[in-house]
Amino acid sequence: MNDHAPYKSITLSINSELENISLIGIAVRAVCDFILFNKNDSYNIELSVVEAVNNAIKHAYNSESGHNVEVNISIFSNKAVFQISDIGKGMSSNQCHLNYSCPDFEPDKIETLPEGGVGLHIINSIMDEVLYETVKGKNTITLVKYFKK
Amino acid sequence: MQINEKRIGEILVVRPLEKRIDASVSTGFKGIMIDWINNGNKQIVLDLSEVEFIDSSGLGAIVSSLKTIGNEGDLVICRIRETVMNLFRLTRMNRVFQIFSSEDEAVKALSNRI
Repeated sequence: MNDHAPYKSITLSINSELENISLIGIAVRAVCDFILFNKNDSYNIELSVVEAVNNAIKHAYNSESGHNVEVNISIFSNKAVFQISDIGKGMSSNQCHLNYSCPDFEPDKIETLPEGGVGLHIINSIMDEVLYETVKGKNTITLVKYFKK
Repeated sequence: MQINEKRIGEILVVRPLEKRIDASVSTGFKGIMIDWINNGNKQIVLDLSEVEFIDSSGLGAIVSSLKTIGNEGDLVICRIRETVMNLFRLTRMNRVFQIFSSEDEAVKALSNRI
């Protein structure tokens, strides 16, 4: 089998409303279960994709309805690739990089606990590769998960 | 958002009936929790047995509830699913919240502090 071409792929598309994200999540989890990721990996991948779609709706589109968010899933012989795309406001590479780490807090000092800003940290902790790029106004975050041997 | 609530002494046991606490319901969930807290419920057990999925905004609502209680009480969690527990570990919130396998244990732990 050619490693460079997916042997199965699907593209899902939603209007930029938070109510639609659960549909993406459920579909992603079903695909992950189908391609034999274990229950925890399937959950984690669903969580990563949901966080990426949350970011697209909240930050790229400022929570405004009427825009398109696309999720492409490609299955290769050794990995699954999830690409979440929007054509809203892009994220600078600096922002993307800085937010990878978990916000600093002290567990016993509740005033230091973060109430948000952990989405990219979650994605980066779960996925094997994360790439963010903007090409001709289209922002795409690519999330790669390799199959365990 | 549908939430089941019951009172055991001074403790409020809250059981969300939604399968998902995500960005579409987290603001509403947080509002309900904060109303309960501001009405004097400072000892809360959050039963997550019905919840199959939580994202970072749902987690943020739970953290916000704990911060609203502050040092006047506590919010503990019980009956969390193993998959949902992943989120707490990834964000190190398993070091913040006390997590119990049953409602009885959670209620007992809070009762001992009153």
